[in-house]
Amino acid sequence: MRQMIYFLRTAVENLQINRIMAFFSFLSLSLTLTLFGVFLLFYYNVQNLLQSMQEDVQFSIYLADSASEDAVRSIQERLSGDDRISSVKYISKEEALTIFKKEFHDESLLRSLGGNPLPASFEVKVKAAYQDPQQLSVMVDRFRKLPGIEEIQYGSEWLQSLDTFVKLLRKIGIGVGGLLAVAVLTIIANTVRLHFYSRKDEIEIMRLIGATHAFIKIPFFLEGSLMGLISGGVSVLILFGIFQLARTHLQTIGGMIGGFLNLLFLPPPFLVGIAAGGGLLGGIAGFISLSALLKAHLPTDGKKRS
Amino acid sequence: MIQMFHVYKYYGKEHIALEDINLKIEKGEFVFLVGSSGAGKSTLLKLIVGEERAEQGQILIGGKNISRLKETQIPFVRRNLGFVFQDFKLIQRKTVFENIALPLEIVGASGGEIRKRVPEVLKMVQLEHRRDKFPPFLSGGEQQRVAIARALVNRPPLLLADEPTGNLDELLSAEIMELLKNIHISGTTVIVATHNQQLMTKMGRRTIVLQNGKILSDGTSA
Repeated sequence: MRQMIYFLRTAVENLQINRIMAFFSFLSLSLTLTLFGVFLLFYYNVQNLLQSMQEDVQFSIYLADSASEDAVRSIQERLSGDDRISSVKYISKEEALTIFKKEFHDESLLRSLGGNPLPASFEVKVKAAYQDPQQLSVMVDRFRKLPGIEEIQYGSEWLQSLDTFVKLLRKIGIGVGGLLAVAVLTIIANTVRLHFYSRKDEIEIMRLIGATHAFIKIPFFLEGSLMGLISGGVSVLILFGIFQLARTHLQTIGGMIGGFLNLLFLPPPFLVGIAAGGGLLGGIAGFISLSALLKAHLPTDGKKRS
Repeated sequence: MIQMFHVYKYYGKEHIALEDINLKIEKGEFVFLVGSSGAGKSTLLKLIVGEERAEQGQILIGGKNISRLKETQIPFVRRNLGFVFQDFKLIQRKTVFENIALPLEIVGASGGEIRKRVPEVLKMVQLEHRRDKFPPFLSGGEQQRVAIARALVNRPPLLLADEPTGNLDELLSAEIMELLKNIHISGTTVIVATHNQQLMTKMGRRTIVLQNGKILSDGTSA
């Protein structure tokens, strides 16, 4: 316990050696982590949008006017018996006409066509587990072959491209995240390296009076962790500021196009993840950087010194 | 306490720092290691603390063959040794108290032990009133006494001093030697490397003379 306090105190002292440099390191780290947070926020919201759209996934089966009652009954049985489908609603030609009239308030168009040109249909909702665009496409293709069906419509292309976009976003995210992680590692490793050089004499003294490499390294490991953790925390605050700004602007736009943009902030596990991830990366950077430096500058095998 | 058998140390192929060193230092002895610059005094001390490794020969300290120890075991050997350097090697941004407490921090001593032990050695070197000062505000003699206190705080059975009076005037040198004498009387084995002929003549102790990396003589100076 006492040693832990010693290590922490030394880590904080390290950060205080060169305050201006520490400030700029913190600034670049916070901004780097914020950048990652912004990306995460974007990804989270797009994925959320996709999910909410998929919840409404449904397709319409338009029946041929010539379809026999048996064919219609057979289709309905097939649909009701399918485990992947959560609800089936039959809309007769008459009901379709009523809905059309209600929505368009224009009967002249229908009258000009003569009679009721609208087909009877089934409106089908699919269970969440089967809403993957590929699975949906297979399912629809199977129904398409049934007799009495004229056409099946669903938002396949739109869903497919949104899904592809999210998948692409995930891949970009991993790439960007990797690059930013390297940036965080480099910034912290460099800061720790400079602190090592400014304390090289002290480290030499400590080694001569019996300090193990671990004893020397732990404060630097903690220094890196602290830098990452604090910068992570700061980046979460900056991210929240950016989010509030974006939401205010999007609400104005959203109001104009029907309130469809509902921006969500990252849930707590993501926020903790950013700060903890920063801390972890920092610790790793501090430890690796110092291990290399100790090996290069303070050999204990006695072969190099003169 | 210390035994060396046919120890050789080279720096590169040309420069022989130590050649066929054989010696035995018993527990409780006070030994001077004497020689001009480059004679091999510091190298000998560095071999004892594991700072350097011998190319040939065996070095036993307290029965342990340090030539065969792994790199990771060296720090634990050093914890049983007190080492005093010519240039004091104090950490400038730590107070006198913190400098002396460092070896205790390293071995993971409790806060209570540190608060008890540090004032004890501070009293021994008569620097109680300077405990919160930083090294740059101390005189050379005071800094060396802090270094000695740090070397003693772990109660090591062996104290090594490399030119401990090299940076001090005659009066302060005498003070430091008096302190080392008292430490020896309290039971610690002391080895002092020096080129100051006057010091050892006054003390009349066992003196090992080194010249060009070889032992020239080993006996009591008068």
